[in-house]
Amino acid sequence: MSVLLFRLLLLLYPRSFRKKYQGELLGFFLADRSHPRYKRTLIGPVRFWIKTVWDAVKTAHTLRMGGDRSSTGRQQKGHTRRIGSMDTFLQDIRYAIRGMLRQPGFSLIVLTTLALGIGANTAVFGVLNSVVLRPLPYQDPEDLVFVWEKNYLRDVDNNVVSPANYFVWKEQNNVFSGIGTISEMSASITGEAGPEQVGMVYLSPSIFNLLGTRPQLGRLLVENDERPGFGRVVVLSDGFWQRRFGSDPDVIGESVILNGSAYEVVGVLPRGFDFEVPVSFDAADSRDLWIPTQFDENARAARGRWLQVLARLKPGTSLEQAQNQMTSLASRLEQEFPEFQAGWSINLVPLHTQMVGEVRTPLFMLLGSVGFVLLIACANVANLLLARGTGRQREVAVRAALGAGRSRVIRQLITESTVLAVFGGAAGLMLAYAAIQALIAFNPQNLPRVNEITIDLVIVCFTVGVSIVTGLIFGAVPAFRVASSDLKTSLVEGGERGGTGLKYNRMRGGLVVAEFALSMILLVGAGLLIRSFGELLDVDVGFDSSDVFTAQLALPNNAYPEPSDRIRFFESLVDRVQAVPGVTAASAITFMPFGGPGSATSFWANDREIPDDGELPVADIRWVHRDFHSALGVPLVAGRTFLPQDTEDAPLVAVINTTAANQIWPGESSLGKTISMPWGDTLVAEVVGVVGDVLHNGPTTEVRPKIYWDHRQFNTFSQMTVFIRSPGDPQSIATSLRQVVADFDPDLPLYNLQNLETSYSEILAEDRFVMLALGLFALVALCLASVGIYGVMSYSVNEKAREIGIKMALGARASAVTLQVLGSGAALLGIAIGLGLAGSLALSRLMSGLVFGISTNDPITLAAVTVVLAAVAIAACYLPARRASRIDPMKALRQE
Amino acid sequence: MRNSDGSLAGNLSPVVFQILLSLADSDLHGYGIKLEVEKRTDGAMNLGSGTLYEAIQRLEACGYIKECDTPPDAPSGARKRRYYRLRVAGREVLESELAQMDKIVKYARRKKLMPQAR
Repeated sequence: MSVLLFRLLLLLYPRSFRKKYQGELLGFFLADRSHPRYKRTLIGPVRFWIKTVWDAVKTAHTLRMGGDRSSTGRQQKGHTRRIGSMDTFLQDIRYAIRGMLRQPGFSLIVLTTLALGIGANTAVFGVLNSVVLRPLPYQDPEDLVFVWEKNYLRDVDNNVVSPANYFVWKEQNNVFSGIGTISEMSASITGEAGPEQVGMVYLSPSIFNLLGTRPQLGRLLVENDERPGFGRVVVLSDGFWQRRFGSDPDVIGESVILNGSAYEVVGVLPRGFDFEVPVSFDAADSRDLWIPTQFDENARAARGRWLQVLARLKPGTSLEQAQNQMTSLASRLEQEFPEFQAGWSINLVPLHTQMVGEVRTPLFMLLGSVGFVLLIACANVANLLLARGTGRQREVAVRAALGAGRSRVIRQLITESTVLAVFGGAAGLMLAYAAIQALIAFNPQNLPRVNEITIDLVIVCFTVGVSIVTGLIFGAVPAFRVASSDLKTSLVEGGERGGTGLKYNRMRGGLVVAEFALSMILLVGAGLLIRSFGELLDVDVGFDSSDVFTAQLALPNNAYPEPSDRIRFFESLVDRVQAVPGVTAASAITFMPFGGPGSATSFWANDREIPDDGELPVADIRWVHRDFHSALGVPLVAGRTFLPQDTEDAPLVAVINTTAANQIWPGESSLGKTISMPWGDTLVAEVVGVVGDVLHNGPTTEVRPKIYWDHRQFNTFSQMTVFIRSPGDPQSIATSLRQVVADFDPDLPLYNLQNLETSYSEILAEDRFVMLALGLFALVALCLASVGIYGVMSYSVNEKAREIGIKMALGARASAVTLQVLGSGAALLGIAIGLGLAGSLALSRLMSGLVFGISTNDPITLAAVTVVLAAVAIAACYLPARRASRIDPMKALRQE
Repeated sequence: MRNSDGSLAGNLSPVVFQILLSLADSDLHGYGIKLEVEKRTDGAMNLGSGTLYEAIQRLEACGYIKECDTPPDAPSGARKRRYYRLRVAGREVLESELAQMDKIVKYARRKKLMPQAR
């Protein structure tokens, strides 16, 4: 890419110079690019490019102006010539600005068109640059990888990791220079400032080394901190330090009461530091407290998978080498411990892919789309300039007669279009700034690195570059067109008809066809996304999410040490909440639908043959309050849900979802059968009910077996989400819920208070955003193309006024004239639709990851888009056609 | 002040002067010249590719430098680079420029504008 850019730059040089030194210049460029001066900082590549472009422009100018210089000193002659050419350049610019002001209407249309095109490109590129292209803000981020367990039998690529495996990897790998675990959850802190639920990150001290982080105050974590019994320490985020401690520099040594235990503050992280943990089960909005994970001996040997592992590749080790080595380590483990490892391997994912992999495709798709919009804008402006160029034929001819050379005229015209483009670009940059601010306000959750989005030097350079290229593209066609026509004839003939004619019209027609074909491709893309979004909204998620309000609660272990304490708390809380006036239903669950990932484990049916290790089916596990299914509106398919008598001492019972029932006992009743589930010991429970499937993560969730347990019978989690169905005002519900909780325990914060509908719309936010953005671009494209076809048709009507006048004088009917004009518009449209359809079908493959429930060649969308496009284009042609039919034959004939 | 060849002394442009100086003791390729100049000027002169080859073109045209064979001790890279060598005329121009500078420096010392050389 950058070599291509440099090759384009080389075009500035005179051909002879280029021919002689091209290879050398390229070699120089490649060597200079990897100069340490430009590698050390993030801004380095920008500096490199500024220097390279400036150097090329400056020397190209010197070479072209003073090409005959043969000496080596500070030349007087070259100097004056340069000033002379600078003068013409400034003169051209002044002339261009005067011209713009002379035709304010024309200039306004051109500038608006360009501002839209360039602004949209700048905005999308700005987001893409900050989110995807800019390196992550850690030391040598390209060497950081997430290490996941991978289950090749179940096709799960990125599974959380078991501690036992983590320690084996840590001790036996020879591809990582460092490795550590990181996970996040929420915790409650208490103290003078009142209870607060905060985000807490558990991590190995080595993670800070891996990321290259330095403390702002005090120290970060050291190896001893992760040994059990070495005291409890915490590192604060800059935001938390400001919020809770008012940026007090004496905070080191203070203590924070976290889930009821005291932690000593040892340091503060630098401002702006953050690390988004890929999987969070129970996360708060921000990551405030950073605490070392302490593994005791039991944890090292523990089964079950819940860790997330980050590592840094050793210098010189490629991702592929590391992956190969880790894969062979995994297969060794698989042979040694088949009962736990069968079917498991290891998958390395670069940090960058992990963080932004999901938004890459939509963002590049959007950048491609705005590129189309810009091309359409260019075609439109070129068309406008062509039309104006005809009028300027005479002016150009006069200048030629006064001695302006052809190249001088071309340069003047190109300067004019470049000035237009630069002004348009400046307006576009402002538009882009506004658009990016709007975006940050609109969709903060689903886009990674939103807080890093800024308009920086790279983006300004991008805008300047795009503007100049745009000016060259839309300026070149009319400039060469005007300058290559016969200047003398124009002068003699009075300039009215010069440069028109068949060839000229064909060029304008061609531009309009291109505009409509590109618009069609965008409209098809937008149409597909709109249809696909409709499909998403039509999906039945398996429960009734209306008027449901949710809030999370986590019980600290020291205040509620026994499982029975926690059961009693949640039981009485739900009882009290159900009694609040205005509450239709209320219950609780460990992992609420639409609330992020949940818990899962393997299980088997006792009346079936038990599959081999590693091939056991996996079920999502949820612990619920007994009224959960009726309160949330999950339909009961067979048997019963939980009853008051399913207490701690009663025999274990389970409720399963339809998918589980159909998968294990297809065609027969599952009621009365027993299932086993390893959770510490192996739990055996009788299936007493089957309920409908719930799409936990929204419409695109792949449903798998699910087992519900009554939380009174067993529950290892101390957090639950309480939910309330009430038609009342969510704000007052939140207030009464807080009141009820405070009556039980004033030190217990409620967090993640949310409307279930809001959570649902957040799940759809990315799809909605991409749909709206592409829809907007397609609309702009369609408007531009319509203006284009209107311009071409009315221009050709004006031009053919005499011909039409003669026809009408000879008795042609007005309706026939209208039809003829519409017909010529329709011919252009027909070609455009053909090309647009072909283009859409060719590009539809790119949309395959973005649509849901429909084919990317969806015939309904294609048909609808064709109809819309045709209707808009015909409407745009209708005005000039009507004008043609009202031409007064006598007037038209007299004009000649 | 006129030199023996009739040209005005002290009128080499800084870029040209630095390029000639780099080639005084060894043949170098373009990027090698850039690195040498950068090192000698403590990074103050950071030549761009265009500036460098524009000057090289002029120096070649004047007969001050010429292209030469790749030195045997050059690293055998994938890309063959052009090496440049100082010609006699180039060395004379450089020497007269340096002599001129030397005169100016001595004059400046007499005027106590500069510390004495140790």
